Amino acid sequence: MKSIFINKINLKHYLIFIIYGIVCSIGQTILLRELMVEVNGNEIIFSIFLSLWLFIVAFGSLLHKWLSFSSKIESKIEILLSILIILVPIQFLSIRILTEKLSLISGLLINIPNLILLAFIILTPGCLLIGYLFPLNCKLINVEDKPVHIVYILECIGIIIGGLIFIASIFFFTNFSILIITGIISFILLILHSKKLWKIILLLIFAILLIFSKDIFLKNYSSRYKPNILIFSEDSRYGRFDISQGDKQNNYFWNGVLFANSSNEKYAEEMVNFVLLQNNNPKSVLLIGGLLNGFVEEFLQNKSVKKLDYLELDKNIIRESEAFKKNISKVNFISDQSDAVRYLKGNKNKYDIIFIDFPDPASLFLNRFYTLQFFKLLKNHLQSKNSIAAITISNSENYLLPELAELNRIIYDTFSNVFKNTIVIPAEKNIFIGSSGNYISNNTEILISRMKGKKQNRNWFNEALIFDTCNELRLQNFSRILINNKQYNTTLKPLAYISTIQYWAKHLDLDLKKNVNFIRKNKLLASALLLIVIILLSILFNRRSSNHFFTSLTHNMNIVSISLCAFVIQIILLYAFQIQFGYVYLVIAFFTLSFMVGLSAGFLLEKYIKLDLSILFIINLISTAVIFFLISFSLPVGIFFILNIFIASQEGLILAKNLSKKYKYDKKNIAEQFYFLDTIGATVGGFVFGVVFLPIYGISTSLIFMMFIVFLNIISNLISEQILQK
Amino acid sequence: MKTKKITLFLLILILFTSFIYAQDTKMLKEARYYQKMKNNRVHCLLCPNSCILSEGQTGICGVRKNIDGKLYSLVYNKPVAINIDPVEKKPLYHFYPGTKILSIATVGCNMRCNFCQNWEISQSRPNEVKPYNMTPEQIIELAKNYNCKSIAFTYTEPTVYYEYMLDIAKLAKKENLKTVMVTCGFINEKPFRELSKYLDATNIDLKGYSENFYSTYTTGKLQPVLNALKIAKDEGLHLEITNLVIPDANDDPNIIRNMCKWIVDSLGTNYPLHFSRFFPKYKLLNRPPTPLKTLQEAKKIAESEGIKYVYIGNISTESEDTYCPNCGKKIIDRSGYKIESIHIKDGKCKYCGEKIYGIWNK
Repeated sequence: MKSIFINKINLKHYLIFIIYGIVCSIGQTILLRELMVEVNGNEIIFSIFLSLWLFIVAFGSLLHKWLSFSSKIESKIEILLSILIILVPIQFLSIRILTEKLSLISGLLINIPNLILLAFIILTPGCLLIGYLFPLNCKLINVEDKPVHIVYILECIGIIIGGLIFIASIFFFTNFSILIITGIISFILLILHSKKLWKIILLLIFAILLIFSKDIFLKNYSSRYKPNILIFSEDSRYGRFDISQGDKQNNYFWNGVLFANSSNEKYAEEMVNFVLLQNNNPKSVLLIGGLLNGFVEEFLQNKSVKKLDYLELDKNIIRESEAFKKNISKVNFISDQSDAVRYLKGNKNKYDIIFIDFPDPASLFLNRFYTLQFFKLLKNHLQSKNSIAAITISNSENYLLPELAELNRIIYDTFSNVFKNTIVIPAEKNIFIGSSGNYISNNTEILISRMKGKKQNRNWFNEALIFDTCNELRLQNFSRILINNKQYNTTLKPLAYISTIQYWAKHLDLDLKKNVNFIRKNKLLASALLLIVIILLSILFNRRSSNHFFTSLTHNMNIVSISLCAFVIQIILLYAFQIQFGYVYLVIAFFTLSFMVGLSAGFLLEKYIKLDLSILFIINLISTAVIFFLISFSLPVGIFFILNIFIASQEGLILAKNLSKKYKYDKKNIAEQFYFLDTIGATVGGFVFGVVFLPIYGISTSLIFMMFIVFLNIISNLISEQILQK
Repeated sequence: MKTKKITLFLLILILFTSFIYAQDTKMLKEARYYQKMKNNRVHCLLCPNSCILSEGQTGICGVRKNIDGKLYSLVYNKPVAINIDPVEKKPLYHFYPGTKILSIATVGCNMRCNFCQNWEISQSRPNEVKPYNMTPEQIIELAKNYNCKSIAFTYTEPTVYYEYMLDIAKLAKKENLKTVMVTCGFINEKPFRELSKYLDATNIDLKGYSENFYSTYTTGKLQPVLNALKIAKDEGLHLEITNLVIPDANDDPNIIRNMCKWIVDSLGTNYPLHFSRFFPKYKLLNRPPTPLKTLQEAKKIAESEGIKYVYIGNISTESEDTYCPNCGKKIIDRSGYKIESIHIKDGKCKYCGEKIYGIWNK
């Protein structure tokens, strides 16, 4: 391995590849995150953005085929890299400006074509440059043996360093400031590579920019809340929390999505009092969600409540609430337990009422709070027979669309499977209330008499509202959606998540329901199409000469397939981690780091591991099968990272072997070919699995699809080896 | 021999298709207010969209279709939402306060408001939903069974199910049930005047007071709505007006003042005006709800222009109560949708005898 790295090459060149990796990783993390906040994206949108990023990078690497330099490569790389360093902060600031141009009305959902156009315009310049630079970097050390190996490993190291910089600075700086810091570090490293005046000038400019970076960010970012004023914005390990203010009203945003406002008494009165009427004498309450909508204050209106535990993921939300500022002794604010699942698993506290008001399960993270497993957990924390658990889900007051009806039905079925008695209160959001006792009721007369008995009437919550909400016709509307064949939402089969996505798409005038049903029924067709795409991509760069046709095709297919599979397994592990442990905002960075460690290790170990490609793919098949088996169990944190590193090292090893084999018969344009196939494999994986297969088929079936792809690679490698032996 | 077989087959196929088609159109109701044109096209005259439809085409509303040169309503007898509401929820504050109202809607709307509060049904197509099957007679029966004083055509734009609404209103009149149309006012004069003969009340949603707002946020136009307001007055309908105040969209104080001036000049000072609080819905999900202060300012403007009954809706304030314009005393005390007390007798203020605009319980 020493021969790869040392030799006559100037070691300073390696700095360039590391800088390249740092800028790529931080740029990708921050730009995609900012785009997500800007368009209020969900996991599907993230998969689309990530795929778009990879696709443009892949295309950028191809550019080298037509637009190549043969002289002064080193200085050209330096200039292009500097342009990239400057470009990323500009791209960042352009997101806001361009969104304003694309959406005529502020606060309006951006439709899918505009959303893709926005990402495309923002990402294209930087991604093309990133893609283009990889083969150019390889050319810089073309005199050496296996230059692609070296650049690939050093890029991975750069990505690891970039990830560490991001993790270290996220708590102290805004995203824009992190980009400027990245620029400063990169220019310092570039100056170490070779001292030039223009680099020093650029370093100074970035240093000055750092002083004003927070103000620049806030000025740029606050324009999204116009005409209101942005009075608070902070990134935590869970996401971004913003507060805008207009006409004395505070509006609260989580990752750019409006979720509460300071004068929402009708909502608080309605939701809380309907729940309070379901328990005769509630003393202890666990409340999760609804703090900024005034739920805590509303619960405390009831004199019988002696103790209220409030659970919130982000400390900033607690700190900014009026209830916290009042320092009420009855209320115990909890925010260090990560999330509701971990909190409930970690203690044995019992409650008379557990009330959860979360957003709909629009992500796998949120889906955890609507599963059989979670509802069982809730039940275990109920004090007595007549204690209640209540959850909320979106309602449409006058008619439930099929997509929303399906979401409600799935969650109701799941919820009622756990609790002996279940009722629905079709309020502004549907409230599902479960209990082992018979006290719960949605009968208007009973509720009105209880309200009068407890003197619980409030300004909005009164006889008229109870009748309006729970009259016979409204309850019938809900029972219309229930059907006989019950489906349950679980962590591994997130049916509620899919329904939420379909309902979200309906806002954008997209009717996904039919397409989803079609895809759901045609698994074979879907897998065949995926296979055709892989083969077509592999043929794209295949040698035409008859001698190596099949071998070259196999190698190309190996690269596309392993990049696809390893990338998808990384996503699956991340999903599984999310299902088990909750929020993954910061963990994503650690996953990327561990993946890069595995990938570099695989490349480095290539020389020592003398196994055939078919054997390596068999190991990969077994590894995928092991993950398939393990995924349904509760695993320790370390196992996720070990599996991630193990899979990534297999990818590194297989990629390195394929590269070495390709060097034997095809040295021309190998860098751009390899980088294109590697990146496009991940693109296809990210898009097909992230947008379609994982949400529709679930994790287990997606893993079977991948085992099928790996199996075909084993066969093609065996045939290829036979051909070569002949 | 072969030709004969093919001819016979085609003949059977045509007969079968015609049978199916006849069954299909039999279920539908031929629309009113349209003109037949050349080449089997039709011109819908119901609303200012004025759709010209070729065979097979459906209007902007999504529920009126040209089938074989005739215009059909696809939603007759097919309500998708049936609920009992407090009449205050429409909002109607001067029309039998404290009574129940049977509210119905079919799918479809002749506007595309990106803030629609009922978008699930207004923006859906008949084939996307599961409607009830209810004749006008059954609707009347249902209203009686639930002791509703009146029936409201509401939630979506009732203009698009005109024929169904008209037939229900006609039957309701016979049965002494009141009918209310909650509308965006995007309807042509002739059909509205015909309908008004059978209606008792209407709440017209004056969404904003600029053509720019209507074109940007709704795809509709302002002028036809203003005409509809004048017709409602002219026809003697009980009229209340709603203005949904959306931050940074139609909340400019100058525009609100101009709107109030127009109401006073064209309709008078008696008609109740409701400034409703906007909540993020449909595509305008990230626009914050209207702050109370904005609504209070709008109310102040309306009162300063002389409008006697101005309310703020969807938020708790004292502005949901009714005060006598003469003596200033509270004559209707409301808590949300609940009527706490009424101090009106024979349509007059109990304290000073001032006539209060409205239709009151006896």
